[in-house]
Amino acid sequence: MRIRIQFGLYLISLLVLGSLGSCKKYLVMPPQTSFNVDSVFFSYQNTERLVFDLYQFQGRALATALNSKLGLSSVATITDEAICFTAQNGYTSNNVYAGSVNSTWFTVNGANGEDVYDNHWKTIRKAFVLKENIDRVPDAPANVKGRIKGECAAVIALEYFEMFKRYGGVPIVRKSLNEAEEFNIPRAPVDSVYHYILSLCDEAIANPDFPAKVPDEKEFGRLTKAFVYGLKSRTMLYAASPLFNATKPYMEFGTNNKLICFMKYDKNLWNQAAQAAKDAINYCEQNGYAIVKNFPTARNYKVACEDLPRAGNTEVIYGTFQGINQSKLYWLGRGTNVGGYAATEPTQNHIEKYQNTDGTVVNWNTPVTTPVNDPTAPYKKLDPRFHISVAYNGCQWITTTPTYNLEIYDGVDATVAHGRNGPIVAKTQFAYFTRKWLNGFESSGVWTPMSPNMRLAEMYLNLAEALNEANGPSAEVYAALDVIRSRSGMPNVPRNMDQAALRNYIENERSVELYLENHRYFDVKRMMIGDVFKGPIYDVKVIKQRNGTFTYTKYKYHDRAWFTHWYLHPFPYNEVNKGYGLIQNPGW
Amino acid sequence: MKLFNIRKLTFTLLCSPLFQFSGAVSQEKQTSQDSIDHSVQLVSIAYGKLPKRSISASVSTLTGTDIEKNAVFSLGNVLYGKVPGLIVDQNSGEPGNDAPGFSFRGVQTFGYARAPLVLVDGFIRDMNSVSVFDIENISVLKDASATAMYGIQAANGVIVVTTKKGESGKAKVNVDFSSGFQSPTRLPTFYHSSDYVQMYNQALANDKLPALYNPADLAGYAAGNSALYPDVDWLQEMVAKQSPMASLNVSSSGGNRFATYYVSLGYLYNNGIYKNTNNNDGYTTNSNLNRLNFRSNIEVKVIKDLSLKLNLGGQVNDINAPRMATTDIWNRLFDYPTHLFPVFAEKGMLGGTSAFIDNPYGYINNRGYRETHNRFFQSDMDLKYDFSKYIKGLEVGARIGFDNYYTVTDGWSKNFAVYQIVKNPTTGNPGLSAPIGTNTNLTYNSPFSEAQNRRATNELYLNLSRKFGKDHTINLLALYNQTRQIIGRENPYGMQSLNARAHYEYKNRFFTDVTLSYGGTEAFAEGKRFGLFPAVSAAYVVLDNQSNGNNKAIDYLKVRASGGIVGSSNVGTRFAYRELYVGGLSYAFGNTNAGASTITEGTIPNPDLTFEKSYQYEVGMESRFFNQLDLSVSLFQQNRTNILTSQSTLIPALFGGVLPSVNRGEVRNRGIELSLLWKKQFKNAGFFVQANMSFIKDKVIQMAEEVVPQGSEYFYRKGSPVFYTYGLEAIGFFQSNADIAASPFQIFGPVQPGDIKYRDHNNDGIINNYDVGPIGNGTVPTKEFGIEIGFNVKGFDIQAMFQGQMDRNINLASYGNLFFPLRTNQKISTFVTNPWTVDNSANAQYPRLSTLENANNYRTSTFWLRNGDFIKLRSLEVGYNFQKFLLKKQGVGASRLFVRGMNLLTFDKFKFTDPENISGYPTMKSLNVGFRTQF
Repeated sequence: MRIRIQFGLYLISLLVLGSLGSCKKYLVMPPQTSFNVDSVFFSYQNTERLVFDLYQFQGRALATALNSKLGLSSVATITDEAICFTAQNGYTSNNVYAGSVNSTWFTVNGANGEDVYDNHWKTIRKAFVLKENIDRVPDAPANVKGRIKGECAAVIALEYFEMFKRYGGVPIVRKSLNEAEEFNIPRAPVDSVYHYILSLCDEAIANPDFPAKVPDEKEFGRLTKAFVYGLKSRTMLYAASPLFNATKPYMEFGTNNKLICFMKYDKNLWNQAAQAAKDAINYCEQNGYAIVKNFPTARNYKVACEDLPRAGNTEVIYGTFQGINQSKLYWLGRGTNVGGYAATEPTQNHIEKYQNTDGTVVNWNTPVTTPVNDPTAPYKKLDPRFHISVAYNGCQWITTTPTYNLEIYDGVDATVAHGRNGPIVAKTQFAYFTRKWLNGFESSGVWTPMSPNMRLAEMYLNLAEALNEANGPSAEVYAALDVIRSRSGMPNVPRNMDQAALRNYIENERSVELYLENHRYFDVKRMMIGDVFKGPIYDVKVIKQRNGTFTYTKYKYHDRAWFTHWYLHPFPYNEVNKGYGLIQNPGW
Repeated sequence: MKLFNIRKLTFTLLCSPLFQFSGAVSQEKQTSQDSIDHSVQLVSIAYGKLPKRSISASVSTLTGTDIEKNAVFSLGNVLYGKVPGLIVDQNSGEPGNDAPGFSFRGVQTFGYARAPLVLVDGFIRDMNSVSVFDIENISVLKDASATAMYGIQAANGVIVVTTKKGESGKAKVNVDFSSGFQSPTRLPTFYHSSDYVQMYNQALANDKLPALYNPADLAGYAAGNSALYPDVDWLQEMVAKQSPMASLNVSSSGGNRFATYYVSLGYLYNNGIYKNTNNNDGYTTNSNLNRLNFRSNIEVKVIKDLSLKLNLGGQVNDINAPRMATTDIWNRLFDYPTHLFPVFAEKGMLGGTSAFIDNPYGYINNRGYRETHNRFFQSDMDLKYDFSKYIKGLEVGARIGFDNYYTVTDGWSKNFAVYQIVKNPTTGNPGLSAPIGTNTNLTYNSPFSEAQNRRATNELYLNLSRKFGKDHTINLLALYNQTRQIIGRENPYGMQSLNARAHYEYKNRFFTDVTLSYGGTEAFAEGKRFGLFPAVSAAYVVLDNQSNGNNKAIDYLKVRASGGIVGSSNVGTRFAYRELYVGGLSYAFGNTNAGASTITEGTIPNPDLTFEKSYQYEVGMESRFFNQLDLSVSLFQQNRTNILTSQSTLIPALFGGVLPSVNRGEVRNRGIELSLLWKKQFKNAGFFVQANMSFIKDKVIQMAEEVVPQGSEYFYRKGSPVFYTYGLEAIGFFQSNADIAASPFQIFGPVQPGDIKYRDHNNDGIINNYDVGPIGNGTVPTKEFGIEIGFNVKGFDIQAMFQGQMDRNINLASYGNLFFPLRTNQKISTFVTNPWTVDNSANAQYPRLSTLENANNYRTSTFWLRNGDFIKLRSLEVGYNFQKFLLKKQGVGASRLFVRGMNLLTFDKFKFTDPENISGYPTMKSLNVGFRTQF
């Protein structure tokens, strides 16, 4: 019996000891399966993936699923360039038309608003963290590290430019922040932000390891020194423009005037902007970039806007494929009946910016009647850039067999069949569809266009504008514009304009050349001609007559809201309420 | 062998699982049928059992006989209205997927975990892994004193399930069998094609779009179902009126002075409600559940003073279902049009169009099937040595529990073609289109999922119970627990705790407990891992006329009070103290749009992250009147602190990183629970009424919230219950364009007459998200009750159990496919009545119909909030108990024949679908016939 008791005691003590033995180190941190700051900077392979991550929130011209704005329409739809299907609530451009823009959504919600304020700061932090730690990477050569530093400076400069043009003065952050005390940085004056952007650009330009072009076409989509030259030109053009370069701001802001305005007019800024544009053109052209002009004139513009460098696009300085989902392209502006959602459709206002190839314009002020069965008559002679950018009644939509011609018309009465793409049959709302970026899609069925964020053509337009503002019309101004026009087969600019007329001409040319590339909205604002946003916005009504002719009648679709306080964006309401000195822009 | 102490053996056997103080044994006496003596009824508590009278903490209990009276497939489904304060949320009735959710004492936190901790035989286990026939009792431990032994996991309450144990004596065999049918409690109904096409034209007119159906079409549909003008009720086509269910359980128990056993084997069958599912060769696509479960609980006296308990339990489930996901199937049944195509375009050829390729008949039958196999295996062993001969009343023991769960889902899929019926343009006769899609053969493929979970728990305990003199009884328990749980591929979950409890009794009138737990988990940084959780409670029996035989109005009155702190370590994030760089979204460079993988900084570490803490206070009383009426009342308050709440609304965006959540939220929760039992048994007849009620309200005290404009303070959730519904206040429909022009601008999208008009809550002239305010309670009720009534006359008895929830709302905006007509081209449910039109503007009950997405109307507002109160007849049973003398000759013991109904009636105001399960696989009601017999 005694033995049995001992056996029992033994068993219990075994269990006790067994448990106690394992209990000391029972709670341990499990093996780490992801990186920490030490392991991530331990190899170049990882570091490179951090570089790629810098581009996550970069803006793209093409509205796509991943980079949608304003409810999947494009920023162009809140300018006179385009309009979205207005019966669709999801397209928040409709809110802008109605005047309902506020600080609770316009810069907060990426999908519905125009900007996501927080994303700029996320990217800036990523760039600083990378720049500050890159020297720790043991297995990367110095020039690779140098290049990444230049790229980080360029990314930060770009983010600051994107905030500068939208908000004016913003807080200046010079490193990655860690301690809570460091977070409370108030808004800086707008000229400090301007100079900060220039200093970041100069830092990147001075970096000998930062290449002018991506060394390998597999890296297309990464920032380069050529881009920084271009960004400098953009920044200086914006700084010289009336919105900031003025003795008083667009709205009185009291003691905070300097947050939104330089508070002095400096004509020399135009000279500097012109010089920056010249520098950018020279640097680019010395480093293998060139205006696309070796294709047929009807095609050059398409190559410049949609194609890859290896397909002959020598003009794109910064562009990307990211987020361009073929299946989402139709959000852009095709009519609903051809598989689209009519998110971005050209307005008649924009159509009228195109000249005929002989320099004349179509008179739309009286109804236009075509010859029998020739619906495209009014458009035939228009600028080749029109045919690349816009699809219209009678144009060939799909060029391969079976071809498909758009029929965006209604019959005049019951005896004339309605067009299959017209308002009655297909519920289309407007007479034009977007074609830009869909030219390849229409024929091949599989098509992924490149989305350009900066093209050399913009630099010529920047140069022309800055020179005209600085010194009035000159041969240099005309020559710069002719470069853009001639490659699309358009005649030279008439040489007889005064400064104001030439200013309007340049503005029109920018809108034509940079259609849908996210410039117009900010160009109009920096030029302080916001009233063009008010409209009226026109469309045409296309009716097929009994005799087979078509009549195009221009009609006013609507007027849009525009308020002076819209010249700058609102900061997100919640951000202002955190109370660290982020003063809301006036009027919001 | 004579040396065995018989008394001690009996003692050991009675006091499962761990300890029981000696007073209970001496007080054992025969209970009378019509009342439950508090000093005899043993109640499971944390790590042990006590007579109800001696418990100073707050504990509610249910016995096995209560539980067996339910025809359910998941144990959780027996608990509706049974325990005051335990709110059980009914789920769908899908075989194998019908386990309910629990809210314990209302809502205590807005944090990650709200479900109570469930222990089966002392180990953390899935409640539904145990058969309803194997339950001895279920205790719900409510206050901090009752739960503090589980310290860091106890804040959401603890449910202790105890399985049956053997009793020494002649072997007994119980056989339970029941079988019956079930059918959906309610299914939604939709408009027929003839009404639909008219309403669709009306909707187009409202959208200022041309009509789609011309007069000939309208006449065609009005004439009734035909090839060109179909009218298909998909629910009628695909959902059976009823489906069978059955249950068989055999158990046996017995033993002698050295060993006892309880063994059982059970089988359950639950067939799904889909129709026409047997047309495939060799398999069915209907959902069904086949479950086998077993249990073997053995207690052995190994040698003198050393006892061993071994509990083994297992469950094997084979669940069949159509290959496509259940929610997708029901969405199609609810959404697919009645008017576009018939079930079959021609014999064997399913109807459809290119936009509607998922003909529900084919979607259920011709897409293959999936088979889930899962099994639970649970084992635990308790070895206990009685050291009484050295130190009187001392026991030392060790327990090991090891569980394994495995689940695998195999899929076999195929595809089918549909054919559209098209009108021949010349003859006008219907013809068939080319096939849309292709018919394919069955192939093995996804979903293939497999997971294995394991849990190993080791415990050591030391228990000292002793009586000092005549009046003082103490019981001390110290227990060390370590648990490691492995859930699939997640990092293991470790828990470690040292727990102690001191129980003291004075003269069997005054009782007090002091409990202390020190426990932790690796989820938090060192220094933040462990917490100390103390609790104290006391009870006093003020009146006890029962035991001294004086019959007074009040027979028994006990008052009690408790207070303590318990924790909840399941805050939804683990290892937040680690610095993290994680894979980001890919980004495309180069010539293609194939993405390059990226790394991005993860959430900034929060080394201060720790568990939630709950400060709980309770007072209560238990009483008996006229020797037949039991009443108990509890009042409690719980303050949950350290709830994780986001900081992003507080820290400047220019920081640029992803900020971790911090332990700063706080919720207060208060309530009262009542429970009443009136029971009377005469010679040949008797009755009982048992009622529970709870009134519980919670309130957010602290929560990081964005700052809103002045005048919109109602937007804040602070001060409201956690799950309160926030929305706009609808004030009717816009009646005209002039009305729209004169009203504040509504930001959500263009409005037309017939759209919902909202109140400008902050009077800023614009209706936007800052006009959103509290509009009503959510689906968690503040009032719940359960009433059970029973009668018996001679051998017959009848029992009915009603359960109700009050102060509860249904937000129709969460179920767009039923309540937002035509939004995504779906059908129109008959819930939509009397929509706004120009001619019917004054009496309209629904906004104008629209074929477009209408963001103005289709958002949470008072218009979509409906009263969700209900009373359900959860169970109704009529039975006959055969008199023993009738059966004795056959060698059969007590037997019972019964008819049992579950969920037979629902009384509510919603009256469309089940108020607890609005959309998806329906909730079931059932009718079963069964018998129980004992050999």
